[in-house]
Amino acid sequence: MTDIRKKIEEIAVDDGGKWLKKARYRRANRGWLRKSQNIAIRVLSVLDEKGMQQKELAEAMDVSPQQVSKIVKGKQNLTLQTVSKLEQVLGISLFEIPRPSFTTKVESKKGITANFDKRKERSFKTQEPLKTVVNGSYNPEEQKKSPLSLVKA
Amino acid sequence: MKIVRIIVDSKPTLYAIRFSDSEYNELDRNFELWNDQEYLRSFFKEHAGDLRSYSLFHSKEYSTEAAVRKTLSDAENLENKLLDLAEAGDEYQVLQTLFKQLNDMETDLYPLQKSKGKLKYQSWLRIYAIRIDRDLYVMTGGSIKLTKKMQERKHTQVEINKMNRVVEYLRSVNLVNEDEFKRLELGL
Repeated sequence: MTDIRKKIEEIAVDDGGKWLKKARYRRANRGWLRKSQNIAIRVLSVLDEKGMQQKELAEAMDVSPQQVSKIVKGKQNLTLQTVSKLEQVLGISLFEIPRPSFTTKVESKKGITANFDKRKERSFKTQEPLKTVVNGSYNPEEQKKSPLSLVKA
Repeated sequence: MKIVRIIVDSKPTLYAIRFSDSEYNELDRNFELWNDQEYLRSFFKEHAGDLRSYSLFHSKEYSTEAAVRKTLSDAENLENKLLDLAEAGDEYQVLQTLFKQLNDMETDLYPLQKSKGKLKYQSWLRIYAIRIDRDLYVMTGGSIKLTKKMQERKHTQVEINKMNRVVEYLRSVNLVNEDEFKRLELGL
């Protein structure tokens, strides 16, 4: 070790590796932390749009202002209960789980029939949310065919 | 002011200053801020004009939200880079590749030189350090730099002041590599 390195080691102190521990924690928990960050970004945007204070959000959610403060920092491992409360109070959706679907049920005069077209097939492959699938085209001619022949087509 | 050990394996290479009015060392403090959405949103709102100029200059549109997202992503990449250096424990994984001279006009490396660390791609995140010796740095702070010169904004000027204070402190405790100064004088 050179003199200069010895010198700095003589006066340097330890702080328990604070940064190193946090950096390792952030790396190991990156998946949910990123989701928490996305929620915080959305919540802060909606609060701005509505001209709502964090204190008002805390009151509406029936939680402490400190709890809201943690949420908007994007470092909190939120429970589904908290996420649902946020959605309910702010009137927004924070989670949408894509639902794969082979068929879309379409109400017709003759009863319930299945419909399946190319667009829905793509939608399944790309895991688009269900609402995109539901908005797919409805062809009355195809409806006359049997569901099996439609799938084969 | 204290010098805190940050990267010590296999030989100590990175230290950070903990100022007497803070409970965090400067590396820890900056990454706490760069992971805090509330702070970031407030920062970019306060510096909305600079963000617009930055967007125009780089031909990219950054809304407040987009700026927050970019900062989070860049902070993650910068932290991972430091973490890789810390965990490699390899003296050839040198910090000198991360830190450059603060002054772009300088080409020499010398003791107590003001230095900056940044990502290789376009990013506004900066970490600042004083170079003590080859691969030996003391980190003094960090910033979100949206303007060309640090002197243009208060929060970046503060970082220059902090570097000056740390240089004075390092001189006062005799952490100056005189041999390197001599080699520089002799042009070796």
